[in-house]
Amino acid sequence: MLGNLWRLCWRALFFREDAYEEMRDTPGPFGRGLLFIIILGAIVAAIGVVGATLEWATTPDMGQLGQAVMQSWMKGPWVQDIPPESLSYVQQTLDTVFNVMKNFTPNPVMGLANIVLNPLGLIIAWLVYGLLAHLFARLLGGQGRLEQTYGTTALAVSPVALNVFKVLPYVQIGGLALWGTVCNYLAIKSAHQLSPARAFWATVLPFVVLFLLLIIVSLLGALIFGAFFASLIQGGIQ
Amino acid sequence: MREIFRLWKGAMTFDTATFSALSASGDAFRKGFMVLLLVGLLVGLVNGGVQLAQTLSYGSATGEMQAVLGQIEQGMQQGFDIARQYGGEVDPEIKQMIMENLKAGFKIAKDVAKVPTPLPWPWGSIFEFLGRMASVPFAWLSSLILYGIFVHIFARALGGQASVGQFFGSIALARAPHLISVLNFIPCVGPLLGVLAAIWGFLIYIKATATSQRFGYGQAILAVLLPIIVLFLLLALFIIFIVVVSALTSAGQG
Repeated sequence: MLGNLWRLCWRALFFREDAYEEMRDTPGPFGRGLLFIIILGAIVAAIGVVGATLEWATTPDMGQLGQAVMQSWMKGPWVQDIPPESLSYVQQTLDTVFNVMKNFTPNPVMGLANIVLNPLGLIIAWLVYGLLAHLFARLLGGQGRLEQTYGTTALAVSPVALNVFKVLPYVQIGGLALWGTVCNYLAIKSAHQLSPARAFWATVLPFVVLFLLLIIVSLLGALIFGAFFASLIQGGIQ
Repeated sequence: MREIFRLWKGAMTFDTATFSALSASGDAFRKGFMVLLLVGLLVGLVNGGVQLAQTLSYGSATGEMQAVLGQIEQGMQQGFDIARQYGGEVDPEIKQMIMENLKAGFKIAKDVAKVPTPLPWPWGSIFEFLGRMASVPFAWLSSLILYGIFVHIFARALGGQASVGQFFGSIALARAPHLISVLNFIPCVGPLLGVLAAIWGFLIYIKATATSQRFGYGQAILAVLLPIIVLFLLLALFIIFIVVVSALTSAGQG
């Protein structure tokens, strides 16, 4: 079963429509799709641990780096023109910057955590996108069942396999999201047997909805925070 | 490997049979992608290798930093000289202030270079070379897919008949001439060869579009250029909209 899944993955990755059709017609496409995403996500993340470790091993510790920058900066000609209270502010800001950077530098622990987090993230994205894509495909006249949509869109996660190149440190794998979008188009087209134009809209509209949702949530968040801070300021004034 | 070389050669010589056979094969995108991957890795290997050899010649992390800073300083000095030649000489006092601050900044950079890493120098440079080498084909791929999506949509609207795999497999061959970018490291000649590769690649793109979509060169050129034309039109409309709105607003205020 696993061997067959890999063969499907390889064909789906290179835009072979027969791979998506095979997944659509296979019994239990949702379960197979879920299994495929879990294994693919975990394997890719496990390989990525090597790259993350090598990157960590050739990156200086952010704490030490921050100290070196601060000590060196304090010897600069500009220091004599800066008041002492501003100097401590600069130090605090630098500390904060390097503390934040610490969280973004790759390390083996984060790499290992990704073995769990990566499949989890992929599954959440797949479930949300698959549902929206199914709704739009049905609205546009699609005939596929929900489990068929999930089965084929699981195969559209195949470009993630190219993250195996992350066995090398400092590598940037560009274009996977776009590649995945083209795979999703083929997946929806096959699952619902839609015309190219309808399949295109069924692929794109979920992104539009998610983008709009993101804007609404951001605006609501900004409004809530704004109201909260306004009440704090008003409370302070009274 | 032989098949990839055959495809590369066919693309470079605009061989119609090569493009037609690629489109007809059920595995067009895999084959096209392999050409792009190999060309990209070779370009990354040679150019990155030259850069790595230069880095290794500096002998230490501090030496490497020293060389980089020297290049920056030289660039600044050249900038001042060019400004002077064109009559825009920088005030000597300001120039001195810039250079003093630059030197103090360089001191920070040199101190940072001394911060130890778990693996000693030059491992970081070697790994960066490997990462950069493997990143080249994927950087090419992202632009290829992004622009290709729009070209494919317009091509289909103009009557094109290629499947997604056939089209993307064919246009991936447009990266074949970029193999001459392995000579990028040669001063003066490198950038010129890059321009030559870009023009050659653009012509292959049109050939690939025409053959895979099974229509004429006129339609292929139109399909390839339409995304840019539409983008410019949208941009122009947006600018006109902004100008009209701001004109109306100021008229209302007046």
